[in-house]
Amino acid sequence: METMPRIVKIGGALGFVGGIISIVCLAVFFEAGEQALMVMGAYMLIAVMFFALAGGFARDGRWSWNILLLMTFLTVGVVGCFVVLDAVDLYAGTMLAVVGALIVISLIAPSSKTWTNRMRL
Amino acid sequence: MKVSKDRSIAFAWTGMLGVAVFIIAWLCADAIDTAWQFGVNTLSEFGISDTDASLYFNYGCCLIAGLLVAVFGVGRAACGKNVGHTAGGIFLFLGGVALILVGFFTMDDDVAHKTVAASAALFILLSMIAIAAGNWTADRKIFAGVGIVFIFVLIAMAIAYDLAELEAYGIILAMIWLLLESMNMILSSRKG
Repeated sequence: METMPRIVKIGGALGFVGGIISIVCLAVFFEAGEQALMVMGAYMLIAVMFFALAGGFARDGRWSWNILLLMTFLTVGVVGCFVVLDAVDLYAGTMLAVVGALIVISLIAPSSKTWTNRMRL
Repeated sequence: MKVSKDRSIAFAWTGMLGVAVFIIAWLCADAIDTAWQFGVNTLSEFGISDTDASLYFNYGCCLIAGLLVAVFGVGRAACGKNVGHTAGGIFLFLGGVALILVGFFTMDDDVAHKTVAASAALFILLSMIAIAAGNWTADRKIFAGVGIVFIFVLIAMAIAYDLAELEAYGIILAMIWLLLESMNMILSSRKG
């Protein structure tokens, strides 16, 4: 069985880190009130998107490199959206955007592109 | 249309120059008209200012910057590698023309001003979408991705902010995007 390149492992791990940060931020910034549902929804959606990205890096995943990169940009876009809509805290949003940017960097490595395109179902 | 490498780089520089002219004219107008506040007053209010700020806005931000953006749009369409680039270039050209008209139809002419200002914003947003699609197809994925993020943020701003804030932050985002797109054109032409 072909060994997974380290950069792919890092990309997957960053996806999990992004998801976990989002869940932790949900607990930290949650306040019962009129906006509670939007705040909860925003952090949960971001967490789901980051965990999906982590899954995308897995062996025999369903996403090709193109889709994985597009989803990463969409995730960062959604984070930016919710920061502007004031559903996500600015510092938390910045942290999540940085994690997203690191995932993009891990994806543009040549070994990452080759591996994610080859080891697909 | 086949455009030489040098001409493509020249077109890209007009985009950068347009952004530089807009920023300088904006800063000059802001320095002259001290009553104007970022995020509180709309940029168009410079156009009807009693001070010389109106000259800087109408001629610098609208006429000269709009002209340079329109020329950049023509270049983007001519140097495009696919339909997305061509469509984006045409939208950018129309956005530049609408920006020029903003300088002529000031806030005194309410209906015409609102129409051309909204058209400029809409055409530039459309060009961002089209060029992002074009960049994705042309394998300029990072530039396309950054464009996608900007589009998301702009749409969220349109929902969350009032007009003055949306205009100010939206123009800053659009200028960053124009700089990136100019850089993309220069890098693409070097790559061949």
